[in-house]
Amino acid sequence: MRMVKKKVCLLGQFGVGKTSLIEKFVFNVFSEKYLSTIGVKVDKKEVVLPDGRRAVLMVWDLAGQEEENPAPRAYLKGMSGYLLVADGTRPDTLEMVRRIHKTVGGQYPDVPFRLLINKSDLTADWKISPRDYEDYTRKGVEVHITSAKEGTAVEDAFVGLAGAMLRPEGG
Amino acid sequence: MSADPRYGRLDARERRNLRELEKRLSGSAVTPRAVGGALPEAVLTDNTDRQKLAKSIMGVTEDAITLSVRTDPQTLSTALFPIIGSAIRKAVNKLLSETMVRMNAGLENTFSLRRMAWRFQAWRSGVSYMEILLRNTLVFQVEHVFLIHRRTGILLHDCSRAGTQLADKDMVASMLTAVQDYIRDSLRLRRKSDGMHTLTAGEYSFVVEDGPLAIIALIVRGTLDPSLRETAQDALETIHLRMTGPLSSFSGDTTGFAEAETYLRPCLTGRKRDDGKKVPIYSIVLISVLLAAAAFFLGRSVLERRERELFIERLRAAPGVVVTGVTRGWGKTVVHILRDQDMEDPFPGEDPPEGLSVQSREYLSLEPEFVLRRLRLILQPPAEVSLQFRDGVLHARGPAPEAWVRDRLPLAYTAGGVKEVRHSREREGTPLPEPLGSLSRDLSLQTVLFPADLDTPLPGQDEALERVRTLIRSILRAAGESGLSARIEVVGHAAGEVQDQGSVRVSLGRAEKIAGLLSSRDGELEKHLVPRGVGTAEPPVPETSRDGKEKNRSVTFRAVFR
Repeated sequence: MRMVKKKVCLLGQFGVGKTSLIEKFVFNVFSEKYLSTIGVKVDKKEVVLPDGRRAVLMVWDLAGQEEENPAPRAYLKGMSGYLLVADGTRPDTLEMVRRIHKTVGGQYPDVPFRLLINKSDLTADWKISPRDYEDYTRKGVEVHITSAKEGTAVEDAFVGLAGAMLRPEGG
Repeated sequence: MSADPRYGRLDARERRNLRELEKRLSGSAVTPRAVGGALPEAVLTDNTDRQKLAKSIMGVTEDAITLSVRTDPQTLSTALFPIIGSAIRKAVNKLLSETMVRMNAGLENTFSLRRMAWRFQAWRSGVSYMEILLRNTLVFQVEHVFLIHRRTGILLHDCSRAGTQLADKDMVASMLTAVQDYIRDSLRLRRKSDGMHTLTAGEYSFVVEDGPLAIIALIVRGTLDPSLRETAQDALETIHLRMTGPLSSFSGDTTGFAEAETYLRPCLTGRKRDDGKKVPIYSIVLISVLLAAAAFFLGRSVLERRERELFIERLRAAPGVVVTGVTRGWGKTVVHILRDQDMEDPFPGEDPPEGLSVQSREYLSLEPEFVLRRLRLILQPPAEVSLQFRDGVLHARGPAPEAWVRDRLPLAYTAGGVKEVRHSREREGTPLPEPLGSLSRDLSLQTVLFPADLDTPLPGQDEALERVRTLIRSILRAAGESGLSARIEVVGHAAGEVQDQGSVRVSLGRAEKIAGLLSSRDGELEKHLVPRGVGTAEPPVPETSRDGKEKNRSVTFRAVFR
C-alpha cells in the first residue's frame, strides 16, 4: 500500500502546550531548543485512517505566535493541513487562534485544519465554553478538546486532519 | 452540392452537419489563421503532449537559430544580451568560489610534514605541486543523498552508502528545509538561489543545491570538494528535466520518485586519500634509500680514504721515491713526489686510487739499488764482471780488458753517490754463509796505505791495522763454525802504470810488512796469513788521479776459503 507524506503545521500562542500536546504521539529526534533558535521543530507522525489508508505527517511545530511575532510564511508554505491550538484556561489564546487563522486561512483558504482546545484535565480552571468557539463549529470545523497530560483526543485530531487532507486525492 | 437530389431527403440539421463536414474535408477550415489560433492551445495541453511538441519542434528551432545567426547575428546577440552577462558572472563566481575553497584547504596544510611528502610526490610524478596539493586535500565521501520537495520540505527519495546510519531521514530532510528557510529569512535573501549551499558540523557537511521544484542535499563526510556542487547540480537539472510533471503536481505520494535513484546514485561519490597508507610506505622506502645511500657514500668515502692513505704509504716505502708533500682538498688528494730519473713508474700498471693524483719531479736517488742501476747503464760491464755498490764503494769483480778498466770504470764516479771504485780480477764465487760473507766483504774494503816506494805504513794506520786484525779473527772464528778453513791473502800493491821488478818488490815488501805487524799483534794469525805482492797489476782503484795513486800504494786483504 502506498504511503502518502503530508506537511502539517502546529500553530498557537506561546504556552498553550502545543509541544507537550503532541509529544507522546509523534516520533521525535530533534530537541525543543530548535523552537527557541530557528523557531520550528519537525516531528513525524504516522496515522492510519479508518479505511486503512496510511499517511506520514511531517509535523512542523512552530514556536508560539504572538501579536508581534506571527508564524513565518516560509515555514507554512507547502503545508497540507494545520492544527490550531488554544488553552482552555486562557480565553486570550482562543483570540490569538482567531488571528492566526485569519492570517493563515487567508493565505491558504483551501487547506484543512482542526481546532484543538487543550488542558481539558484542568476543569476547575477551564474558562472557555462551547459558545466561545461556536463560530468555528458553525462552519463545520471540527473542534477537539484535548489534554496533553492525559492524551485525550490528540490521536483523533491527527487522524481527522489526515482524513481531510487525503480526501481530495485519495477519494 | 445543393444540386444533388439526395439532399432533399435530409432534414435541416443533417444538411448543416454535412455542409460542415464537406467544408473541413475541402481544407478551407485549416487556414494559417486557424492553425495560429489553435497552436497556443495545443502547446498548453497536458504534459505528454507538450513533450511531444517540444521534441517535434526541436529540430526546427535549431535550424531557425542557425539561420538567424547566419542571416543577422546581431538580432540573436541583442536578444541574449540580458542573460549572457549574468550567466558569465555566475560561472566566474562559481569558479572563483571553488578555487578559493581549494586554496584555503591548501593553505591549511602549508606548514606540515604532509606538504613535504606532497612535494616529493610532485617531484616523483612530474605533476605540479599545486595539482598534487589540490588532489590530496580533497578527501571526502558522500554518505547520503536526499531529494527534497522544495515547497513542502518532504523527502521524495534518498539513497545512501551501505552501512551508514542517520536519524529519521524524513525529519532530517524537513528540518534541513526549515533551516534553509530560516537562514534565507534571517538574511532577507530574496532570490531562491541565494540560500544556504553548505553547512558544516564536525567532520560532516551538507551540500545543498536548490532547484525551482526540488532540492538535492548531500551529507558529506570529510573535506568538502567543490566538484560536489557540480555533481549535485547535474543531478538536479536532470531530475527537473525528467520529472517536471511529478514534481509540479506532488501531493504527498512519493512512490513515483523511485526513478530518481538513477540520478541520485552518482552523487554518492567520494575520494579516498591515496597517501593515507602509501605515503608512510613511500616515506619508509625514501628514508631507507636515503640511509642506504648515505651509508654507501660514507662507507665508500672511508674505503677510498683508506685506499689513498695506503697508496701514499706505499709511495713513501718505494725505493727511488721521496714523498715531499700531500695536499688534501674536497674530494681530491694530490701527492707530490720526487722520482728517480731512471724510474718510469713507482707501481707499473697500477693507477692511483680515485680522488688521488701524483705529481712527480725527477731526482737522482743515492739509494744503492738506483746507484747500481745507473752504474750498469754507464759502465756496461763485460759479462764476466759483477758490480756491487755499498757504502759509497763500487766493487767490480771478474776479469776485464785493461782498456775497460782504464777507460770505462772511472766513469763510475759520474753515477752519483760513488766515493770509491775497486776492481779485482777474481770472479765472484759461491756466496758465503753469513756472517762470513759480510765479514769477508768488510775485510776486502780495508786498506793500509804506504808512502811512495816504502814498505812502512803511513803514520796513523794503526787503527786500520787493528780493524783488520779484528776482522781476521772474526773471519777465522766464523769459518771454523761453518766448517771451513780460511787463509787471508795480504796483497801488496804499488802505484804506477808499469809493472816492473821494483814495483813487485815494493808491493811484496809491503805485504810481508803488514803480515808481520799483524802476527806480532796476534800470534794466532801468522799461520793463516799469506803475503803476496802484485805490483801494479791489480790496482785497487783506477789510477786516474793523484788520489788514485795514493790509494794504490797500499795493502789490501782477501779471505779465501776451502
